[in-house]
Amino acid sequence: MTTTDLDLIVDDYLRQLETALGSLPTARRAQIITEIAEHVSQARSGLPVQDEASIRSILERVGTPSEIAASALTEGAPIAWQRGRQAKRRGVLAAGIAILLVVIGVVIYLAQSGSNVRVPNVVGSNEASAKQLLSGAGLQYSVALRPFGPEESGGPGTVIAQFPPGGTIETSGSPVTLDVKGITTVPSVTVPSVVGESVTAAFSQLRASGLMGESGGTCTRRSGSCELESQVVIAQYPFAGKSALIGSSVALDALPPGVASQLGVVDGMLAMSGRTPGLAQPVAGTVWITSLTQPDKVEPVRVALAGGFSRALPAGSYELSATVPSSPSHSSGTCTSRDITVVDGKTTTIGLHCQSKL
Amino acid sequence: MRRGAIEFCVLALLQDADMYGFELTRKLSEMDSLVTSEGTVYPLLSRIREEGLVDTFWEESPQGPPRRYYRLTTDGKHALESFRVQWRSFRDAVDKLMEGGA
Repeated sequence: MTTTDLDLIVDDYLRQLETALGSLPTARRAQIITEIAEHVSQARSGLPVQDEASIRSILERVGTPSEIAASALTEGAPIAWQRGRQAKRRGVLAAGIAILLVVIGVVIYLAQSGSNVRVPNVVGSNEASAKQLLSGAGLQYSVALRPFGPEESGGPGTVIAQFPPGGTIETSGSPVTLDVKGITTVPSVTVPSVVGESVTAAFSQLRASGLMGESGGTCTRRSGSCELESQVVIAQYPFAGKSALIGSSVALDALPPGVASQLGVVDGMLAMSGRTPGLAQPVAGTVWITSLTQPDKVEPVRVALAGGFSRALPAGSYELSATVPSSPSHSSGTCTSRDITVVDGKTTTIGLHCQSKL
Repeated sequence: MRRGAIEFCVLALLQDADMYGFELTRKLSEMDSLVTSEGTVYPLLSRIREEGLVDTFWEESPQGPPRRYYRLTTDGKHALESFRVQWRSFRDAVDKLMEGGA
């Protein structure tokens, strides 16, 4: 079996997991899938031999998609132990709404139980007509939005998946979950500017806006905890003023106070970010783009920079590293960013990590 | 009860050192009867991260892909402390009953 075949086994598993987690909110589902994918790649990196048996045994330890889905669904329920007064109650509103919806669903279900209906197939329709069809059939619906979907699945607002599938017989009043492509009606917020703030202040500001901070560590330590609190945020993605889904992550790049300016890769542009708020103009340099999923298959792509760059790439995960020569206006250094998701040929960069050769 | 306690086992594991997901879930799954499969820990991690008990940061790894580390926040430390107190009195009470001395 080639590495590609082994990747397919993992991809297939992750797809099954995505289906199993279908009823979760998009942000939560994406987070769980991303982290399980990371878990698998960490486990693979420690394998002496990459073969089918060892990949399958990794996946077996991770558990079946339905097992993980069952655990994810019970996560919403109240827990047995008191958390103490400091426990955060963030997400309580969302959980409350979810529980309320479930209760309403159950009430309607109980009120109408008895009559069976055939679930119409609404995949490919737009959201509005899908809702109409489902209400017409006497069914409830809930919409899970995906920021993006497969290429072939139509424009924003198109239903790309449903559960239960069309043709199934369900009790009248049962809920049907729709996965709708594109950010159409998802509750979103405007990302606040946290550049120049301490990491602690940035995290609480983001939390107050319904977002989650994620810090790119610049600490070097092997024992104990990484002291990020005192560091100063020098860059953020998404940028301030952009809209982001509630509950989504904002990647922060932070540096200990006193460290000189660093290089950053933001929005497809190699940029220099200083200690002062805001990002400086792009600088010239060279960028290597390597596929993370098939590091041994894809040759690094060199892109010459002249006031930033843009380059169409197939969808996937990439590692992007940049080296920029020293000049009077900036120090030399290397910048590695992770979690670059390429959608429709447009590069989006999050999870920045820079090292400066001072 | 077990499910409610696992959350605090995660926090307890993180009190001495930050850990990346793979490391953390492997440690938990190696302890008898705590978790059935490694993957089932991730929904829990996602929730306690959202609640602000832990947060994450990236770090290079000496080998293999970069790692997403989890670390305890101040809220997480407080939650763990408050659980520790509850747990001790709960455990002592159960022990006492089980040994028939009550």
